[in-house]
Amino acid sequence: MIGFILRRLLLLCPVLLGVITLVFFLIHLIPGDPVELMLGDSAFSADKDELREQLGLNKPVYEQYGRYLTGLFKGDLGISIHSREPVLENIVERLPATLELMAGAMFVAIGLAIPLGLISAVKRGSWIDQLAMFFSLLGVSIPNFWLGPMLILLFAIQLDWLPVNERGSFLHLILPAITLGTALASILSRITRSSVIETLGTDYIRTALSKGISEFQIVTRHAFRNALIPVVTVIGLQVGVLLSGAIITEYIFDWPGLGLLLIEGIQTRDYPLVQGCVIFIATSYVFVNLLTDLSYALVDPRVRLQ
Amino acid sequence: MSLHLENLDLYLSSGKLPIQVLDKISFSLEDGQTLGIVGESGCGKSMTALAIMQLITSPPLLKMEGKVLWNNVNLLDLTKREMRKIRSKEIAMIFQEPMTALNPVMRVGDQIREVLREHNPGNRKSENKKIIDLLDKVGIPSPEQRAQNYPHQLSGGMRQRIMIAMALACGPRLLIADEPSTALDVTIQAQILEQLRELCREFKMGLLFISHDLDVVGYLADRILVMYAGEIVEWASTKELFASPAHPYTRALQRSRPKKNQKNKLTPIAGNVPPLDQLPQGCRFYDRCELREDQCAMQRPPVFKINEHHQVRCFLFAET
Amino acid sequence: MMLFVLPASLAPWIAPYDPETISLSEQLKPPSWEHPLGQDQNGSDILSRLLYGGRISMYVGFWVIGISGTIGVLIGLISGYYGGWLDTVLMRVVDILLAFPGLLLAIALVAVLGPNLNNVVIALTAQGWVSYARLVRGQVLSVREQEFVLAACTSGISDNRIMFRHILPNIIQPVIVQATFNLAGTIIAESSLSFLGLGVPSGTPSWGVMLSEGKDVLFEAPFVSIFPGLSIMVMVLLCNILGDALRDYFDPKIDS
Repeated sequence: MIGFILRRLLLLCPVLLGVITLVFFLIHLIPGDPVELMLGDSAFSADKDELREQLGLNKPVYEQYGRYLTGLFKGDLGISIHSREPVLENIVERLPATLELMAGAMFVAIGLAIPLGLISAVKRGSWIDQLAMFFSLLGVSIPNFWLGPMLILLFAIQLDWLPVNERGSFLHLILPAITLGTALASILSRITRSSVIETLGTDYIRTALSKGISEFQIVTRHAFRNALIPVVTVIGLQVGVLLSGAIITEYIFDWPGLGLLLIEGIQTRDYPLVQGCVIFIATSYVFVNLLTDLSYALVDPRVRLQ
Repeated sequence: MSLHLENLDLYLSSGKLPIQVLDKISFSLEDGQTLGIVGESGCGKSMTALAIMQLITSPPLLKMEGKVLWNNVNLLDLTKREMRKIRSKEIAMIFQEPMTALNPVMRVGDQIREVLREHNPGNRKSENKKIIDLLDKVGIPSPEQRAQNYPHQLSGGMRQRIMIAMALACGPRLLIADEPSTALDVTIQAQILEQLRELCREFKMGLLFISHDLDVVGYLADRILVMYAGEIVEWASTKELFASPAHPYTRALQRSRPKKNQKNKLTPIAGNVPPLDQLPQGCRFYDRCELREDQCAMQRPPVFKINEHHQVRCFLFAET
Repeated sequence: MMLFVLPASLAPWIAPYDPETISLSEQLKPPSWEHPLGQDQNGSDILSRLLYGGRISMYVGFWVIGISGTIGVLIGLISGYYGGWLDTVLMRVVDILLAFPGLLLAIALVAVLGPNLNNVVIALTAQGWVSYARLVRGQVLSVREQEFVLAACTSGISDNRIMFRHILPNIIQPVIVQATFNLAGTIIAESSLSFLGLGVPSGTPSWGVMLSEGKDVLFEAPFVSIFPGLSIMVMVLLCNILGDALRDYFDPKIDS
């Protein structure tokens, strides 16, 4: 198991290096002088030169790249042009909000999808099944940047039940979490359904039936855990969609997370910040994928041997 | 404790049309006896077994008619809950594929425990002891460790032994074995068959043994049913069936298997079993039969009695 | 589907008003007989903007799928057929691109390139081809071991011919299904970028831009947001239904 983890970690290195390189050179393709952005046109050229020196911008690109890479190892993502603070500090400050939002969305998605998928599968072909599958098709088709405003319109403006905009109490989390979680809930409920149906047709379910145990126990004890294996895979794969959706959701709800930080960075042309955010998000995603792979082992004992 | 099937008809819904999979299946199996069912794949032998256990899930069951009498109670009349009390406790079943018949994410010990807990619950400790005893009984070495294993950690033969242990857990009166040894290596196959025979003798348990292999059935069974295309074509004691097979299909089956000191060539049976939705009007074996007569094409042969222990569905025996 | 494609392609002729007319005296007028879906904060007719917006969605969808599909299929074929170091290198590139979740790479690219329609196409294509390449490569690996391909190899046919005449026709069905779902994804992606203010320049009649503008006036004029969102949803729903149907048609074995 430990060997497996180490091997996977080693395989990540070239991918991460590629990501960093790609983002670095992409950002440095941008025309324009960041120093002028920071100080404004009217600044003395001596001041500009000094800042350039400080930021290492007077060096050739490959040297800047080297400095950036070594900086990364020390957790240094550069300085934000806008806030003049280390980018990493900005990110760490905003991270909890994004995590809270994603956890909320995940909770909504799993809480809705797994019971729904399970019932659909067991009552296959019934009106409950058809209704649930219709909603799941609707759910994947609703763009979250429309669902969000519509939820605000209904629950915050018309009914005035829930607060919106910015982070705060638990109530503030509800609408953003639903906005972000709906698409995932739809995907997961379809996967859960087809996976449970497939599992219910297997030989070992017939064996379990032949033992005389109840259908309820068969579904909960035998079918569910086996059916969960593909569901876990999909949850892992969908974390990326969730991360990307979080950017939009944060923008809709003024949710002060990483996504909003990234958008603010783009709007203020704060390229070190954009670069840091993109690299940070991509890296986290890569590690989440690794965790997903490892979590199979928890659900499926057959994986442990390999 | 005895099992009687009376005129069991079974219809499945396949696509839009109903298909009759079993046609007037009747037989009886007395306590402690071994009955073999033999026939090519698709002839309805597994369906007969699943029908007794009422485990038909796909393709969906359309209707069952006739009687499945277990101790004079028609199992077809029981509620789901009552039927559950019969399964494993009175009639247990083992399946062909030991690879897929066990839940891959549950320790095998726990899979046996489930049966115990359902039908005669005890405390964990007494259950553990029972599980170890069972595994020991079916010939699994170091049962304490094996009980902790997952199915994928065991060989095919081991898994089939686990299935047998699971079936025996509540001391059923009848064991249905559907091709239990077909998926195994020949040497393992012999071990499993021997084990089954001993266990049945020891527990005085009835055995309904299903196989496509006439020799394997002959080795275990007191009496044999030969099935073809959803119906029983011959019924005889094992001795009689091997000594004087009556139905042309049974004869052909005998000729198609290799024997010791085989001199003449093996004769395979020409043609295929007719699909169940395109059965001929007359005898179902007509197309492949070497001894067919004109009336066989027109009329379905009834069952003729050759003697007390031998019945056959063929016009050749009409006079006797 | 035609319900959307047709009106959108005919937008210049059937749209009742110029989508970019600004008439500040008629800001945020609710739906009326003259303007069935109302007017936005510039006083432009929402129905006309919707029709033109459909053109933009289709333009982006068509080009992104066309380009990324072609690149992806080619790379997938080459990678799967030749294998070796070329395959390794290409798949590492794929791994790197897949490290960017969802829209992140597109957001970064548009941020660098600047917001305009063609840059949106470039940004979405940059990652778009990857899914086709992975799909095709996997299919090629399973097809190339089959007898008919081996037979073609032994008969001395050129690699190109084997790839395009023997392998490609056998693997094209899942690619078509993928493209249908991809169309839905692309429409959402373009609208998302525009919504974030990173896609087409503001003022352009795109569904995403309209929603973004609608967000600011949600309280006073909810109708500005409702209609473009509905259009996106129905369009995407249709693509998804079509994709499901195609998948079932090509492979009836798979249940739902």
